[in-house]
This record gives sequence, structure tokens and C-alpha cells, in this order.
Amino acid sequence: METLSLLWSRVALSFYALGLGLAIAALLRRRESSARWARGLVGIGFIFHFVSLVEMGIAAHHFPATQFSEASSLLAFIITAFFLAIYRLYAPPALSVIVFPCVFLLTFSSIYAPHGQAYTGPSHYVASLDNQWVYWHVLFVFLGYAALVLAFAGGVLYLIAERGLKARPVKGITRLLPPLETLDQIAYRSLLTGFPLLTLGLGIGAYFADAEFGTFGLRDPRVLLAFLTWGFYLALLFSRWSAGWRGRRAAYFTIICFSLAVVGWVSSSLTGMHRFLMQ
Amino acid sequence: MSLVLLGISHHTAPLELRERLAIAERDLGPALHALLNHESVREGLILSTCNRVEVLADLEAPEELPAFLQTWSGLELQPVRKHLYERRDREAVRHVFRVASSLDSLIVGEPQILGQLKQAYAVAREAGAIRGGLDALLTRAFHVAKRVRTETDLASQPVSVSQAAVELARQIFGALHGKTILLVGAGKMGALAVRALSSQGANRILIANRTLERAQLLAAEFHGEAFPLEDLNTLGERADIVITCTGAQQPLITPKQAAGFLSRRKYRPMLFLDIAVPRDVHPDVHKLDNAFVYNVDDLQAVVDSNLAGRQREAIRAEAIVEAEVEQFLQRLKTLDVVPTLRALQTQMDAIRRSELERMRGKLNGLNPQQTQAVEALTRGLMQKWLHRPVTELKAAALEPAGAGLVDMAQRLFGLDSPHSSALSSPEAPAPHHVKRGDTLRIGSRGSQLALWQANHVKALLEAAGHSCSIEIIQTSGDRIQDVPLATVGGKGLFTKEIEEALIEGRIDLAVHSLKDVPSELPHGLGIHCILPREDARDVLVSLQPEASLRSLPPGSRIGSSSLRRQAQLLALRPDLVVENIRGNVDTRLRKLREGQFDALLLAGAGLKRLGHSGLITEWIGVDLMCPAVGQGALALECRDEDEFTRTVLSSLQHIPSALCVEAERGFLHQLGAGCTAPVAAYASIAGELLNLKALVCSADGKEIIRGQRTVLLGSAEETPEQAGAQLGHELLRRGGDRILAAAASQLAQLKAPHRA
Repeated sequence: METLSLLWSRVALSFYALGLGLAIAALLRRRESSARWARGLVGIGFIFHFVSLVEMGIAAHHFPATQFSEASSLLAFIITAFFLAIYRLYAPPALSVIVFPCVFLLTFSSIYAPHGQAYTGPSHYVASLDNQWVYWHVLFVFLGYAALVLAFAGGVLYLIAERGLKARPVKGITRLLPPLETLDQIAYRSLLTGFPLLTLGLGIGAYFADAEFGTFGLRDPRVLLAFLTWGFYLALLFSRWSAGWRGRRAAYFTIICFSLAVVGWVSSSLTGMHRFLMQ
Repeated sequence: MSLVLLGISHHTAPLELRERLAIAERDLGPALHALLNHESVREGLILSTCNRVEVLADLEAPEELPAFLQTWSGLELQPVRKHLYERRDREAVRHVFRVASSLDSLIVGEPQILGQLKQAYAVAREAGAIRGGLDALLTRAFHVAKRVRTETDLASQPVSVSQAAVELARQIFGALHGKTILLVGAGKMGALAVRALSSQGANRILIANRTLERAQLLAAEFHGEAFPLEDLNTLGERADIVITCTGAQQPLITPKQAAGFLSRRKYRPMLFLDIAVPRDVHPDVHKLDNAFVYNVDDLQAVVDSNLAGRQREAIRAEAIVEAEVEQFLQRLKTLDVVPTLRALQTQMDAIRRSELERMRGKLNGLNPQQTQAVEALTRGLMQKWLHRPVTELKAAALEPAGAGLVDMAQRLFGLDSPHSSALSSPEAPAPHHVKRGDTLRIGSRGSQLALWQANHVKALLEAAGHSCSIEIIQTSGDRIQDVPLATVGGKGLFTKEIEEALIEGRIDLAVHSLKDVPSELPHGLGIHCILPREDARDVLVSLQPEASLRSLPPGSRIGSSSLRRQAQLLALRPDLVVENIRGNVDTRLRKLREGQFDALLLAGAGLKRLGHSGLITEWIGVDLMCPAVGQGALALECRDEDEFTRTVLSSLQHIPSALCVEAERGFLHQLGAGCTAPVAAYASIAGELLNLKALVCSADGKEIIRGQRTVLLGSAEETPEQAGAQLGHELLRRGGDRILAAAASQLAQLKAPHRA
């Protein structure tokens, strides 16, 4: 990563860290002002993050999504954007306590994880990186992931709140969290938004891979996991519509989906790119 | 700005006095005008609720406040002066903040007071009684109240069963708008819960009851729909919240049924509030996903843990108030522009005069008119030159950033920072100022029981992180041992010396058995904590292990120290011989062992505390023998001005006990009975209802007047204290007055031979 962009990333990371700290404080001490500050700081971090991504793109002369570090940074950015966008709808600081660490970890790993080698494969694949379809593929898949992060946050908080309410005597922690139905809705609506985006992203990817390389790439574990995640995603939404699965079961299901996505993501950190491109 | 607050509240005065000073809402406007008519009053505010009457003013002459209150109420204030409190400047600011944050309320954290204060503020603004400083103060107070509300759990935690139900519903559903409630069984508690939930927006109400008519009656009240109980199966799935309170012996809602409801409503969550005993909802329903069942005990557990939490939160809230007071005063100090303006004018005028003086020799030839003209000229010039700075400074005073300009003016014109304002001058420290870290000195009588109580309180305080010591103080009650209590001058006997020590600052708090505390306290002292009450019942103690009130053989000699027990015993068993017994518990037990008595009547709590519960052969039910007012409750007393100790004590307060005791003492106060006549009262709380039983009886037990009264807690209709007073009034009317008069004249006869 270019030094200038690295610098802005670090600045963004510091703001995210402060925002995370304040969000936790806001949750525990229930200070509205802290929650506002937390959001403000993350907002500032977000702007620096944007600058960093632009620098990165200018330096690399392409959309910054070809290396693991770039991709992490981009995903963190998209998650933040998603979160800030829905903050108006669901203001509870509790949500940020799950989302901010994800953002923080991704940004952190984009700076400090060993950098994947810049792409050095056969030259006709390099040409494919200039094909803008790749970027649409990445963007939509990432948007789908961002939605999944929010759904995951909603699901985890739902499980905590539900345990508290089922316990005897009722646990005080539930008072810190949004109501159960709200949490369930956050998870559900995030999934509902994320699913078409992920479908679109995967579709573009598949079409593009097929057209460019004549292979669908299902032997690549990364791709396989992505489709598996998508399958679970679909099953989750379907069970909700048909069997009225909600609440606890839906939350568990969401967490499984999220875990699959995380495994996929981590595995890509080892390869740096889709393996089928590296062959 | 010079703030003075004069007030009277439930902490310091009985209801009847507060009533006489209260100012009805429609009279507030005229009262404020009357207040402003006093010469030195710049601004004013009057807060009058059923728990307090307070007049706050910014004024030069503090004595005008009592004068105003006296004229307005038509009540001679001098005799009741000890019930009034006066807070000035910093203390007044703190008091207003504490009141707004509901820290000074009977039920700490209750939300009504803020609304009442806002109302008072609105009225005062309307009347033009609030313009500058008070406006800032009140606005800040509302801000402080908001901070306390959002940053602590003081107000957010429900402390009644139906509030707890609302809280749980909100934790599941969020906003309750558009939610459907199904009430199964048309009982009073159920209706109460429905009212609480529907006031939060749950407006579709279905009522199912065994008899349809009752359901229809209730449905009319809530604009709901009525159904027979048989429809339960089809109604269930429509309800988000199901409240059950039938008298059914078997669960009405089984897990299977509930699973059916849930699947038909696509597993949208359901909340079951089961307030029936025995339970109407099978406990296994709670094990279903998306079903949440809470029974009476669960709700009560929420309330209990909240009460404990509230007390912890109160300490945090006090810290917020303290910080805000400091901040407010700081701001006020810098903005207090009036002294600067005055100093500016004085200085300019001094220069003008000295210059005129200097020129006097050269101006000798002037005639008086010309002298006057010169005077007017110089004065006019001065005013014109000062006009702009003065208006600018006044404008600056209204803005937060204005302090800099005030500073600048002081430097430009060479003024010393003149802060005549009383707010900025530090107060003289209170004579016995207790602060965090000091050892709290607990005053106690030397008796075994009293020492047990003092040690109990010491342990509680130490658990909360305060160091304590115990000072033993002998009271006249301890010295006079051989005379019936009633004849030696009532109850103050056991408290007087201790209270003197408190006032003189030799101790910081006193532990009393509440039943020994007279209904009126010395000026400057207050009961600031009621500890969780022990069993209030009386017990029978006898060497015969099976002895009970019913089984005692005729002619048995029963010892008791209190007229109340003696009289009630005689009413139950006129065939027994009841004799007076004094001395501490050990002395009395010795007399029993020596065979002077066949059995003793004692307060159970004391015996239990001293580890003698093995001797108890019968706990006598409150319906057979009504306990004394406050029996079994420990009261902690401290100086009103000792903020620190007060805060510490209020953190130990047990609200249900305090409410019960409040009701009982309200009753006692109405009777004005002290110890001379056998009277008894006992309050207990079930759910939201406080039930007060009381009686007045003649010394021989031949005549007993009983009554009882129920109050809905947290409602604005009647406070527990008012209920007590009402019940007292009722018993007096039904012949209690005659009994009391007879007792008083008997007492006079009893006392006479002693003097001889």
C-alpha cells in the first residue's frame, strides 16, 4: 500500500478505535452524548478512510480491490457506510459495539496484515483487472457482506437479550439492549437488503469468470464458500417466509451464515486473490 | 443574584400542615403577583404539590419570604417554623436540582415531580415572575433532571408490578403502539395491568371472562371487546400480550395451546403476564421459543432488584447534581454583571465629583442655576459615555460567551472584580460538616437491643464502604425503669437525649426503633431512612411450649409493657389478668422464669434480633393483635443540613417499608396520640395496593374501633400518608375521639399520685 494512503488508513483506524471505545462507554453508562460522539468520530474516520481508498486507487491506477489489504480496507469502508446509513433508523449504541470491532479489525488487518503480493500472474489476467465487471462483482458482494455484518450484530444481540429475558430472575443486561423485536427486524431487514446484492455480485462474478476464463471456479474453496453462504442465506430467508422462523433460530442461522463468510474471507487472506486466477 | 428558597415537604412536616400552606393551581398566578409586590423580590417561583410547598425567589431581603407565605396562607408561621426549611444560594440551587431530579421525593426517582416543576415554571413565566436568573436556574434544573434520567437508572427502573410488566413488554416489543392485549379474567389486578399497558399505546384490548357481563363492563371502560372464556382458543393468536388473572385451579393455557397460538401467528413473540395464584399459564410455556411467561413472583423479583438498584443509582445521581451545581454557580459567577455595572457607575461618578471639587475654586462666581447646569452637564456627559458600555455589558450577560467582555470591562476601567453576589462567596462551613471518608458516629441507647440495632446499621454502612463508630447515650427512658411508660411523658423518652447529641454534633446519625419515635421531630432533624422491616407481629412467650392466646387458662397472669397489647389482649380474653412489666428483654424473661408471670406479650422482631426466638410459642396474627405504628421498623435519623450523611442514609432506604410506615404514621399523626391511648396500625403491600389496618381502643379493651383503607400506590389520588390521615379521621369520627379523651383523663389521674 502506498505510504500516503497508509497514513490516512491509520488516521481512520485511530478514529474508529476512539469511536469503538466511546460506543462501549455509551452503552454501559448510557450517555446519549457519548453515543453521538462515537458516531461522529466514526464518521470522521470514515472520511479519512475514503481519502485513503482514493489515494490507494490513484496510486494503483485501478479500483482498490485486487489485494487482500485493499479489499479489507474497502470492505471495512462499505460496512461503515452501511452502518452510518441505517444509524438514523436504529440508533441503539448496542449495535455499534458489534459492528465497530468488525470495522476496526478489517481496517487494522488492511494495514498490518502481511501484504499480498501485487498480482504477477499471466498477462492476459492482468487485462481482466481492467475489466470493470470485476469491480461491480466486488462491490455488490461486499455490500452483501456489509448487510450480513449488521444481520450478525442483530442476531448476536438478539440471543443475548433473549437469554436475559428467559432467565429467572430477568437479567438487567436486557435493559441496555434494544427491544427483541427491533433486533429481529434489524437482522431480517439487513438480510433482505443484503441478499439481492450478494446474489447480484455472485452472479456477475460467475458470469464474468465463465466468459473470461471458461471456468466457473467452484473448485476454489473461496468461491465454494461464497456460494455456500449464499445458499444458507437463501434457506434462511425462505424458512422465515414459509415456516415463520424468527427470533432465536433465525439468529443462530444468521450467525452460521456470518461464520461461513468469515471463513471465506480469512481463507482469501492466505491466497490474496481468487485462487483460480492464480493458477 | 441572591437566591432564597423557603419550603415545607413530606420530610419535615405532616400532611395537615402542608395542606394549610398549599396553594391551589388557580391561585398560583395571584400568589406570584403578591410575591412580586414585595419590594426586594426580583423574581419568584412557587411549587405546590401534595408533598411539598416551596417558594423560590431572587430577592434582597430574605425575611420577605416567610412574610409572604404567612400573609398568603393566613397561617401564623412562628409556631410551625421548625417544619419549614430555608435554603440559600448554593444550597437553594442544589435543592432545586435535587427536587427536579426526584432525589428529594418520597419515592426517589418518581417522574411526576419534574412535570409539576415544569408546570410551576410555566405559570411563573406566564405571570412574568421569571425573567433572568431564575430562568437560567430552572432551565438548568430540567437539564440536570434529564441527565439523571438518562445517565442513571434512577427513574428508568419500574418499582411497581404493573410498571415492571410495561418494562418487560417494552423490552420485547419496543413501542407498544398497535399491540393487542388479551385479558383473561376480569379482576382488579388484571385491569390495573391493562391500564398501565394501554397507557403506553397498546390500544386493542380483548377481554375474556367466565361471566360475559363482567367482561363487557370492563370492555366498556377500555373500549375493548368482550368474549366468553370459551373463546380463549381462537383469541390467543390475536394477542401480543396475554394477561391472566382468573381463579382457575388448573392452568388455562397449556404449552400445547400456546404452541398453537404461536404457530398460527407465525411465531411473532407473545408475552404472558400471569398474575393469577394458582397460575393460569403452565410454566412450560416459557420454554417455547418466542413465548415469554412472567408470573407474580417474577414481576416482583424485577421490582425488588430495581428497588435495590435505585438506591445505588441515587448515589450516582447525587454526584451528577453536585457537579452541575458547581458548574452552574461558576457560570453564574462570571455572568453576574450587575456588580460590575454598579462599580463602573460608582467609579465614574467618583471621578466626576472629585473633578468638580477640584474646579470649585474657579467656579465660585456661578449662581445656583449655573451650578446646577454644570452638575447636569457633567452627569449627562458621564451617562452618555457610559451608555454604550453598560448596554453592551448587559447584553453580554445573557450570552455564555459574555464573561470575557465583563472581564475586559473590569480591566479597562480598572475595577476590582466586585462580586457582591452571595452566590459566589463561599459559605460558612456548617458546624459539623461530614464528608466522604469521615467516620460516621452512630448514637445508640445502651440496651442490648439498641446495641444490636446500632451494630446492624454499622455493618450495613461498612458494607457500603463507610467507617463507623458507635456512641452509647443514656436516655431518661433507660433511667426510669419502674413506672408504666404511659405515665412518664410519652415516647420522646427514648429519643430526647440522642437527638440532643445529634443537634450538638456529637453524633452523626441515630438508630431508633421507629415505634419509639414521636410523630414530630425536633427542628433540623429528619428521618432519612427506613430499613427493611422485620416481622411486625407481637408474640406470646411462655415456658409452656404449647401456650397460645386461645389456650391460656383463665386467670393466667400475662405481662406486657404496652397499653396497646394489654387492651387488645383484654378485648380478646377478658378472663386473663394483664399486668404491666418493664425492663429490658432479659429482665422480663427473668421475671417470667421466676414465675411472676405465666406468659409475656412482646414485639417479635426484638426477640428475634436478640436470638430468643426459641422462646416464642405463638406469633400473633395482625388481625388478632394489631402491631404498634412502625413496629419492627428501624429508622435512621440525621441532621437535615448534613447532606453527606443524608445521601448515605437514603441509599439504605427500603421503599416498601417506608411507604407502610408513612401510612401508619399518617394515621398516628391524625390521632395526635403519642403513647397515651392504645392505638395500633399496620400497613402491608400486596402488588400495587397498600392496605392499612388500624384501631383505637379503650384501656380495658371493652371498646374497640377498627378500620381499614386501601391505597393504589403511585396514583395521584391519595398518598399513603393521606390514607393514614383519612383512616385516623374516620376512626375519630366513629367514636375514637371519645376513647382518646377518656384515656387522657385517666392518664391525668394516674400521674397525680406520682407527683405526690
